[in-house]
Amino acid sequence: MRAIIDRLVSAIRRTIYGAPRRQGAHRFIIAQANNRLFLPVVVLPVLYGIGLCAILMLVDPYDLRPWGLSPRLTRQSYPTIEKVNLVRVYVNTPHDLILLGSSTAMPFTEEQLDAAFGYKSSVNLSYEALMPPDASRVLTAAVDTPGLKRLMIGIDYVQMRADDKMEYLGRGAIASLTNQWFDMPDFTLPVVRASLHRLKGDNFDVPEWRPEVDKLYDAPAVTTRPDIMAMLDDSVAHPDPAIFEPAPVRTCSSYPFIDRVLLPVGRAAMIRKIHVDLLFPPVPFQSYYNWQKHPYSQYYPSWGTGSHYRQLVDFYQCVVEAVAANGLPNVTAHALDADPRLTQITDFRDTIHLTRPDALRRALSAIRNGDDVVTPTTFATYRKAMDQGVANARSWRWSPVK
Amino acid sequence: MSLVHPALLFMCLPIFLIVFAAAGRLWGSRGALTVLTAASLLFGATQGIAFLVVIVASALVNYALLMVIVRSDRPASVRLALYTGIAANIGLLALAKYSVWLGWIPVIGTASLSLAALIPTTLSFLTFQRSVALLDGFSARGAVATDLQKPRAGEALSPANPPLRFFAFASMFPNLLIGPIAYLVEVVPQFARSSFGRIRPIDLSIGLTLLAIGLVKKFYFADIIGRDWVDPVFADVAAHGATGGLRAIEAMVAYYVQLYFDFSGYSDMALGVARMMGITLPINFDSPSRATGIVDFYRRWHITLTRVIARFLFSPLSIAGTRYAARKRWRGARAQAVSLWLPLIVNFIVIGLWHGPRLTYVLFGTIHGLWYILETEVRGTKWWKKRRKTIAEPIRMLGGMALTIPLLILTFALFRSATLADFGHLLGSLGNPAQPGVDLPSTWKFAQLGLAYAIVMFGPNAYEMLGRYRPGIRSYINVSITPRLFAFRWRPTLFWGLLVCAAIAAVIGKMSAVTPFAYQVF
Repeated sequence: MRAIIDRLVSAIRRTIYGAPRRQGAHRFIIAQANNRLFLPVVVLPVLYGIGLCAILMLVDPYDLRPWGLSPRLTRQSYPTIEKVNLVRVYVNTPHDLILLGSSTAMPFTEEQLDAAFGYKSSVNLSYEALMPPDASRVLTAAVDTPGLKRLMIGIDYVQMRADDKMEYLGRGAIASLTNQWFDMPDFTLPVVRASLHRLKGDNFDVPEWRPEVDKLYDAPAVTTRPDIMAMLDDSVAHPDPAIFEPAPVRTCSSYPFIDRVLLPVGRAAMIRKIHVDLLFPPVPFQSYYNWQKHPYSQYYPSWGTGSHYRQLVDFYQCVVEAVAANGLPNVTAHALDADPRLTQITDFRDTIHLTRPDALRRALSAIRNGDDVVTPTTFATYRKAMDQGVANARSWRWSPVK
Repeated sequence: MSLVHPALLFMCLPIFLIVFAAAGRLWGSRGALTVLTAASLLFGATQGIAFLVVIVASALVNYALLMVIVRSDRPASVRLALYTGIAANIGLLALAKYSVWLGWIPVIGTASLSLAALIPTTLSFLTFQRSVALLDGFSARGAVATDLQKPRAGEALSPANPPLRFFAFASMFPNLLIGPIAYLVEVVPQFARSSFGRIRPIDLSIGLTLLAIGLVKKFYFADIIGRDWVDPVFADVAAHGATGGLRAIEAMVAYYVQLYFDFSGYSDMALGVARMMGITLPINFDSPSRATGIVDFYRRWHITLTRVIARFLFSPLSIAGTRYAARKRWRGARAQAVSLWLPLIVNFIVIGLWHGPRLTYVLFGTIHGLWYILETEVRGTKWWKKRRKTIAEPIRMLGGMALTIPLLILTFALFRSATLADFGHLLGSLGNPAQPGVDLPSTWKFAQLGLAYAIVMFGPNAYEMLGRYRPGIRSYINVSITPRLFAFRWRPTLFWGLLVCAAIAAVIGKMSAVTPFAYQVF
């Protein structure tokens, strides 16, 4: 036994440390260690990489190269990161409607958009934390989409940022538009598998993406989450007094979103006869108490003093007035956040994301019918409705069902 | 495109190697060099047409001047060609790199800003390599002439076209962007070998191993450490002027090792790709984290820049200073100041400035220069010479490392800071209380950082492991202090093949997100 162990140790030492061969070392292991199988073994993953690369170069799923198969996408089946990578494909293929916003706009499905406006090829390109710099690039590209009739832009507090910060998905969206032929964000196994499907003549899709997408649309209501409801209850019952204080004055020129994103995109859309809808997403009135009491958000850390929801309303006023002042008749603002039909907390999956399909359909119907259109002349009414809604929510209490 | 792009590694590189080998077989070294030059120009074109135009024009100018240097019998012409070439190279680099400082000069400023906008890729490495080629031609005329000149009447024709050798050297794609900066006399003789153009299995094996090591360093250490530990903190400091105390320490400690993995990873890959073609490039890193002092550190960190600056800047300055002191009959501190201290300070400020037009780089270089002077002086004292004999070597080394590493971590945090104010804020944050939930990353992340430090402190470096096969050209001989337990020795066997296979397979899953190398902006 000891002899065997000695021989093994000797063989291992030789293999790892390159120690000289000792007489009596284990022949089999020595043979394995010393045979010249290095290259054949190492070439295997290289061949695997070559195979992946060849499939992607042939299919070109993200439309990065002058060659490749024509895109064939499946509706409503891509997780956010995939959708962001496909931005170039979407804006290069004909679409009737494009919706772009932050997470508050993500739950609208393409079927709901088509059904609401009678289109056949709507697409929702929204992703978490859309910020002014990436919104500018993506919307500029979106306006050039062949056959585009309608562009919907979700505007929430993230667009109030005054810096050039971008999040991971925003950078991905810009990369999708600026990548060159040799960039390979598509070098992942699911994309290769989806490309293989495309190569066989099917759509660019894999089943494993489905659950990720479903999570977005089938989320349970926030009322089933006692922790969040208790937090909301506490925020409303014991509000931060600042919620009723006036918001600090901020000039409209301090929002880069207006001058760098909204107006250039609005003008480009007007030239191309594209209608633009600006959506102020619905939020339960109770949530404004929560924002005030727990103001930390990695996407908008600059609330400062004064009422937070009033700062948001001031921003919306700047948006509405800029549209009117710049003569953009093709741009309409929809204040869904003041619509009591859309701000019921039972329709939300958390404190800000409206997800119930019937509520989403109601929101689209309100946009189509122009129920919540807000203009400079009606803005005071909208502001009053917001103040009223927030004040009324003060009497709300959560009663957990035992 | 850089060496970590899957399109390069799994498409362009295999095709290139096949064509290179075929050309080598059919047309010998001339064919192989033609393919290498063409591939390098295509690689350059992926950085933008402006970059391609500049590198081709610069290569033509440098070749013409080099020919004057090695052929001319008139010393005045030789000197004029040398100075013109270096001025042109440094001028081009300055225009492309220092537009922030040159912007106010009427015509030059505009040209500089335009060039900087047209060429976002760094020109630092390639202009240095070309300048050094001119200096090589000047200082080793005979050797360079043999490799590059057309044969004189009656001599046999070289199998490789001499201009082609220079163009292949000047634009060789593995080290075109981020080095290592190679000497002409190191590389061109390899082109002149009759076997050049034949791909040998052992070269492929060594090349693939170095490539795999570099890829693991980049994707599994540099990128992850940067993303989790460094970038958010420096961004925080830049945006808000402060961060949590613990986070500041973590970021400083992490950046030092991130930069090492990032840059040495690229160098490993460059050496690996070159080796696949049978070309051996100089080693750029030799376990710098085990340096026992600043002098030792610069023999291990970015070696190819250190040796260039030492050879072509420090040595002439030091010789001139020594002569001046001798002429003036100066002794003691005055003589030392002009012959050693001043050249050292200039040497390190140039190293700092080479990285870009930032005051943080200048201060980084100045601090390292002063540190170098201090250490040199202390090591030269009789007290130290006597004392060092009484201290056991392992203790002396450990003591040196314990003094050196914290100071390196601190000065590299300065190097990483965008402005002096940011560095001040980072230092100011060290006293801040910890931010609950933000300051303490998960145990797994700590383990990753710990592993990274364990590797740089105790693991063998790639060149020690592959030492038996001469994976790179050594510029300095550093004593290896790798513990015996970890002194692994690579051989092209099944065992090592499986390890390299696993490394490449693991990296493939990470290659969709390519982040630029830190040194791509210098």
